[in-house]
Amino acid sequence: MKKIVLGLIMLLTFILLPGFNLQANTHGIVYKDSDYQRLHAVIEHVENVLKYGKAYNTETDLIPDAINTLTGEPAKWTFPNRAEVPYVNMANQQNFLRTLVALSNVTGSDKYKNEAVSILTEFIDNYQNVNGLFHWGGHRAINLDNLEVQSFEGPNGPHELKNMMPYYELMMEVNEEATIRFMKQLWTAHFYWATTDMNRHGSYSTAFDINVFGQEIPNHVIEFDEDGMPIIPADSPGLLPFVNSATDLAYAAFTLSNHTGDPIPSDWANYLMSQYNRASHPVTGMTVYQYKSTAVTRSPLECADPAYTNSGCGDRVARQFRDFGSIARESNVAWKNTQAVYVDNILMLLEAADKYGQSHFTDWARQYLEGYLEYAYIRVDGRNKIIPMFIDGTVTYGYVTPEVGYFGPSNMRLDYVDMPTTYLLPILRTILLTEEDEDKEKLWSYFRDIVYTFGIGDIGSLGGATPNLNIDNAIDDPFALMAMVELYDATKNPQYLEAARTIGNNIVREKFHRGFFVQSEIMLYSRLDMPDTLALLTLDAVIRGIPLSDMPYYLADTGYIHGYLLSDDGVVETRSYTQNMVYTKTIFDWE
Amino acid sequence: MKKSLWILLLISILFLAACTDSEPEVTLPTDTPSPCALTPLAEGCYTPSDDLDFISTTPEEYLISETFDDERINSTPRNWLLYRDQEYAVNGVIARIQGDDDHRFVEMFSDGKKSPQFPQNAPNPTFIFTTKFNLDIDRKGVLYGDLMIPSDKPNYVVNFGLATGSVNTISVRIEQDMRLSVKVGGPFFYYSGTGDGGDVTVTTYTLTKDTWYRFKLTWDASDNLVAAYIIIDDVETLLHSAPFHISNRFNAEPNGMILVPNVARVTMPRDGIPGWAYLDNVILERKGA
Repeated sequence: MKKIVLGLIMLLTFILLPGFNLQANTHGIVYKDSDYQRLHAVIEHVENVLKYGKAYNTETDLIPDAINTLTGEPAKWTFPNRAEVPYVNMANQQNFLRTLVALSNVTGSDKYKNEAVSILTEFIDNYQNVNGLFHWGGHRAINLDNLEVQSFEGPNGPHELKNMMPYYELMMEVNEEATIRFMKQLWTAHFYWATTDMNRHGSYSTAFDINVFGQEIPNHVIEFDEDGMPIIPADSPGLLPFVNSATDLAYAAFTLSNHTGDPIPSDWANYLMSQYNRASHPVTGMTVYQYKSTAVTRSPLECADPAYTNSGCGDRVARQFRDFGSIARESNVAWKNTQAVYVDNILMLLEAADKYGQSHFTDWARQYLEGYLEYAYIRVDGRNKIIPMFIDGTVTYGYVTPEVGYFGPSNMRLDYVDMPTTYLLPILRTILLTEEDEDKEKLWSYFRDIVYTFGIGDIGSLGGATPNLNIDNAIDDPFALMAMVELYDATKNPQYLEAARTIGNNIVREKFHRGFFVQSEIMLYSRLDMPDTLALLTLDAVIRGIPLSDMPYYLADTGYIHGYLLSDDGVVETRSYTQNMVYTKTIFDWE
Repeated sequence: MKKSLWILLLISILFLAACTDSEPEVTLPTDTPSPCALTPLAEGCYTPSDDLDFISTTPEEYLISETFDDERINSTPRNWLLYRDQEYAVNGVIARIQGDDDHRFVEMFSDGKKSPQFPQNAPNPTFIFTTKFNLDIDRKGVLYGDLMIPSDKPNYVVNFGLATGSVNTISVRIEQDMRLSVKVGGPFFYYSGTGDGGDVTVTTYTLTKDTWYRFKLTWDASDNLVAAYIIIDDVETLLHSAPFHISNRFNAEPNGMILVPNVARVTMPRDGIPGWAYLDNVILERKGA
């Protein structure tokens, strides 16, 4: 009897202890005023984007990629002859479309999703080429002045998607037939079935192929030498099979298979991504940016000038970094395009693993990231850095380029590169999708170091159930925010939620200016594709108890336009990107 | 003893329970649910921005008046930009003030060896010396400039003219043998695709070294005309007149909007041949002023 009474008392003790109450409270999260203030900022931003984005040309529902926060006008591309083009590039607005749908989810109002549907409807109805490709991507957009297709790479710029990962779920809702047609033609225009070449550029003249994916899957491109090293062919006729384009091809094919139930597109996507996996370094595990080099097709006279960097002069790294011998190939560089290889590519692999049954992609992602972090990650002066190197681990740190080339000017010293916070998501999502704890440990220890060095605090031992976070941090980064939200979702530990709330508040305080979200207070343009609003809405959703699986998912924000334009000095021509030439402008650059 | 322990235990439980109750009271203010949680778009919750107070987009016009007489000897003129990048030799291009207290001018040198990297495969010049103006509302104007080729130094091709961004509008060109020609338009970024590298018209003039020559360049978008003149002894002679070149139209389309110039510049080509020249009295006026 005494034992029973004692047991009862002990039970009562546990029930009444504060810790139990705290845990119980976290199941019913209070939506506070500060939570609403963040949402208010997102609503205000979206309303202003819609209001001023549509005000420029009232003939259309399309809105520009970015808005000048001093004039309210669209961002404009300035050609070498001063022609200014306000541009709508739907490939670069995918996070805004996701934001609109997410905003409808958290507010319960269809208004914002209807805006997204209206924008997409006009785009799909009017800007799908006869062969199925959309007029969007790296070299084409819509001119908001005249609503005509504008090329940025000569008069007939090619189709190019690089890690843009369109919001296919919504596109399917809007126009299933057109979306499927696009996903099929993406392969026909970019993949060369007979030679297994792939080109980041696709032609708008390539006819639609009703028998797309109809060919038997060929042997692998990447074979191995007697030492087990992958052999990278150098026979591509000017075609560059960049992984960031392959990522978009694969994502389209997986989505297509999932939607139609036909496994063949998925098989081709597997085949394509396998080439990058096979070309990975067998010792370090690091993977490649491309699985072929180009053949030399240009004349020796043209190629004698190192400033002439056309890929027809052969592998551009072999030209500029010949001091490093045979490892110096474009495929093997691990200090440029690393965002494409180790962030965007990984996020697509994990999406396919999670949603489309490609579970082996999780192992690939873990292999790539573990190798990369083991060899290239370094903490310098309390900051997360990347050591420049080739994928076999050959360090290029300190190397001074002897001559100009594709990778930069002469006398350029290769130095450590800051590791951006974008790495948080692929590392975390890889861990979360990995099944066995023992397989998570290595990546978790890197993740723990990286998170700590970013200033978020200690996520603790494997699993993150007992963190010691820096709740009162000054971080205003959307990737850190999404990482905290996803860790909260996985662990339900309220520390992550509080850290996320702090980061969310910081984002609003530091980035919400003049009625728009901008990269910082002095930046001129509010870019629709920036992930901050989507990240804030993801936080809002978990506070409300909306499952993350019901929310639009962040996959990439690397949309750009690339082409010929007027330099910043206004007097010479250059060839560059919106990210380097337009979105770097500050309010002090405005004339 | 056991009873004492039981009592102690019960007191402890009650104490801890009391602590439990007190904690929410402390944190209650911060945990108050937002009244807008379920009605985020309702009146009283969402307050739209006032109309944003944007700045005007109307261009501000300004002219050029460069006699260089108040510039410091051996300095680069204050309002001018001399292009060079990492690939240029330290003194691969020079633009510096020379002269005396009565008359100062710009001495210009190009080694002709390097050039901007883009557009690739295009004849980009080595020497690019520029200053800007704006007549975007008028869309017409007049540019004057004096050029002299010295006899005591090597010389090569020199161009003086108007540019729309980086694209030539109209310029006079003094060849190495001092023959004079006029170039209208180009090259543009579509250069490699359509070959619209500009139209060159050879004049009957052959100039003399060590002599200052005055040139006048005009443009008028409403008339679709550009023109080049030479002025000798105050006598103005038309060298060439033509419509705006296609490279100065939107998208290089025949019916594309005319894009008016905003740059005065001197260029010397990249042919590996060095050359010297002098520049003075660069004056931009409104047409009809």
